[in-house]
Amino acid sequence: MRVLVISRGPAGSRRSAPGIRARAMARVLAEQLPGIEVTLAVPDHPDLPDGPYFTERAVGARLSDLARRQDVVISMGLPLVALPAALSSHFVLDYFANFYVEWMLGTGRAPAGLRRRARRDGDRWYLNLQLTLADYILCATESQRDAYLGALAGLGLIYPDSFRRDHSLRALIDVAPHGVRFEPSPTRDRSWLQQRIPGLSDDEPVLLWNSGIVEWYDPRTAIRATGLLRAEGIPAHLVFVGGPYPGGDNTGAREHRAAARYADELGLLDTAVHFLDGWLPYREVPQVLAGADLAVCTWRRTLEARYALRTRYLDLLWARVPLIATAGDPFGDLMASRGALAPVPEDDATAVARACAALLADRERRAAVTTAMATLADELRWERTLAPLVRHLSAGARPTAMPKHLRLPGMAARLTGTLAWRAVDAVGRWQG
Amino acid sequence: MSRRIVVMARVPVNRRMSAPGIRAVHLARELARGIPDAAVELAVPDETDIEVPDVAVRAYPRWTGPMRIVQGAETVVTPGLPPTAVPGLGGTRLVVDLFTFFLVEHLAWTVRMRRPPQRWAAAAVDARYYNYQVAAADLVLCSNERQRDLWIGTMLAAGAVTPDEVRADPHLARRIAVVPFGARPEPPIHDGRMRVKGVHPGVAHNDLLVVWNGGILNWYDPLSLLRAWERVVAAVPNARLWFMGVRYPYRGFSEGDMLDRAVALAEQLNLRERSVFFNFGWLDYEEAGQLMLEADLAVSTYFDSLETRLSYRTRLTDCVWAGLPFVCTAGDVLGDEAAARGMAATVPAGDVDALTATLVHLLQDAGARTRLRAALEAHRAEYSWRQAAAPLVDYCRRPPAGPPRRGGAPLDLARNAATYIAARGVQQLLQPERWFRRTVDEPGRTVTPSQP
Repeated sequence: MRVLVISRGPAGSRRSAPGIRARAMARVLAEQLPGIEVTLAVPDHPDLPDGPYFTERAVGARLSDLARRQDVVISMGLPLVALPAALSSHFVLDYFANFYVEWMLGTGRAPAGLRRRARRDGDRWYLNLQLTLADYILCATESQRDAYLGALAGLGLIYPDSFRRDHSLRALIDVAPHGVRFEPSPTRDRSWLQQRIPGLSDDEPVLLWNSGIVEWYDPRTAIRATGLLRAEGIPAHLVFVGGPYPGGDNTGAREHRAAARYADELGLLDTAVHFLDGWLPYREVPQVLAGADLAVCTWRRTLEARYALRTRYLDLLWARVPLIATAGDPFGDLMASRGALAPVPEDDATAVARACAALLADRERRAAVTTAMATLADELRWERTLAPLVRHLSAGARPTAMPKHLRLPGMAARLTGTLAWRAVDAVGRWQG
Repeated sequence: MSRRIVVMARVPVNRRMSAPGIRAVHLARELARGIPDAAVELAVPDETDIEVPDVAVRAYPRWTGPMRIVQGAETVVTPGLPPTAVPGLGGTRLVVDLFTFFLVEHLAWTVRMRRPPQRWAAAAVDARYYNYQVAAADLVLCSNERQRDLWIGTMLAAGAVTPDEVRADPHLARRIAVVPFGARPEPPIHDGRMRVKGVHPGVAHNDLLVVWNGGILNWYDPLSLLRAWERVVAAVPNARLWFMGVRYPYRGFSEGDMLDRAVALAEQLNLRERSVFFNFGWLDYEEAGQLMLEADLAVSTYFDSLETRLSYRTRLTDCVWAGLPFVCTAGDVLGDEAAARGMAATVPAGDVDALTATLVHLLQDAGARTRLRAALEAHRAEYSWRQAAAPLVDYCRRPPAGPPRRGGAPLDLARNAATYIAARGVQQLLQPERWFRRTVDEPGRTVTPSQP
């Protein structure tokens, strides 16, 4: 069996969730299913493969060619150039976030009026098209799965025969959360941070913000909390690593600048709050984590949180860096219920500062948290989280979705909708 | 003119009603109680024999009635707006109550259609129906958080939520609310008259009565229960299992063959009319309540299916009302919550050993049952209709300012209604053998022939 995993984000040295997940899939499939040949297609320069699979830089015609020669294609979205592959092979759609919500919240950046409508409806038709193309679907959380089931129902894609074969519909759509890094956890070492932050001593506490900032994140509360800690005489440093997201469209750049401005207004910039420029190379992330005492992640509670599985939490679990985070997302709540996260209310800098101070002062408490993190991290190894996919492929990738020929009218309609709205968007962009 | 709020039922509402009818009655009641300055109406198809305090109950003709009912109302609450009502909408605000996840019910019977195009059409018609309902609705109601995710997914895929709405209302609280099924409001007082114990041949006065308090549809698993029961009666000889009201009150509603299989298995195991009894027919609402007050335990077993994940089992709510400890399969929202609160015991799906052990333990240990009863007592108020209906009452008391939501895109609703009607037309063409049978009404309320 030939399996192609298409990463839709950079999967080379600088990678974010899509690339990390695609690589993990390629590796786990190649390791666990010896009879199959796995290829990882990436849009950027491929890093060395970390398992018995091939990597190839493939976009455009190259990708479409590569995809056509596969038995199974796995991706978070089949690029339009590779659409024929959805008909000739078994297409596994990896919808590891509620993209309807995330992308919709992102359309606020487009100019109002027709352009914004075109962005929104173009995205929606595209996401609907992918669901129509899919023979098997993976999500990262149960709430995402419920939402995608609703989308499938609304798109007429829940076929009675799928239900006859499997009353749970898990053979059609299942849950594979993000996993933790494969390597052993790092031991404490602050040298990387000390090279970037002059004068940072060994015993000053470092709070880490370990990824980008988009719409729904609330860095201000974390910054204010740092100010409060300083006011209490705790020489805390808040370090933002991971600037605008990799991949070229500068996602998060605006929010990053706004956060830096806010730190500056409070007189904390570069003294207590540090912004390290640029997205970190994947291999350097452990060195950053190794230098942190705690991590902070504050965000505003919106629809996004309901479906979120924040991949930054998994890195912290892996590195055993205790996390203080806003409560209310399912994965954070799970961590909190297991004692692996200190939850705080939304927009409450005092609570963040108090939680930080408590953890910094109490070594035993910190040890209890890291022990809880270790247990959870073990449950979230990629080999375990990707088990549904491995099972599905080892059972021969038998589709239980609606037969492809019955999906053709839907595919045609949704492709037309996608292209039409994308065209409107393109014309708008070209005009100004 | 005073404010008119209408609850428009789509199934019979009378003394033998099942869940959708019961729900309509209680929503109307809570609206009347919560908004005293509004005139609350309960509109019921065909005819009714029910009375609801402070609520004007009126019957309407199925085809021509809906349009007149919605006309001029401030808010209409209905499990599904029939397309025939669309012309009457005007400025009426619409609450669509999608509390039954009928997708699964539909799958269970469409799967028996013989030709693939028919099955495809069934999925397509359901899809059009959902899209049409969410496009029409100002507010959608559902019965638990999982269903809420599900309908949000439908709304997102259909474009029925805009980014502006999400920005103004980040949790979509004014677009989709959870209104579960409440427990009966009347106090759970037994009238002293025994219905089964010491009355029905084979059930003695001091026997331990375990009730299966609802119908048997295909996603229920009475078979595991019967296999366990064989061992339960060996350990507890005076245990009696009573299946109450196993046929649904709708004419022609398809139950599938699980009931027949259960009866056959009970006979094969030589349990029927010895320690296992089937009460065919549907019990009167009041009678069902009294029987639960007479029972010692309730049991409900089902498969690990999509239905289990998404449903809100009203039979479990009934147990909460009656303070009747229950044993159920894990995986159901309410069942799991009850177990976590010490009101019930759950067992893994299909696990006959665990089920046997749990039943034997609870039947032999009166103290354990008393503890469950105490927890049920302590939490009962949280499961009242007043609690359940609160989001709806709040919404109707202070509806959002401005015109109804569909006003922003009037063509959207028309287009959705038209595609739904067209899809129904195509579906009818694909199944000529059904033209002459009674298969009318929208998916939520579908009345299907019992034989395919």
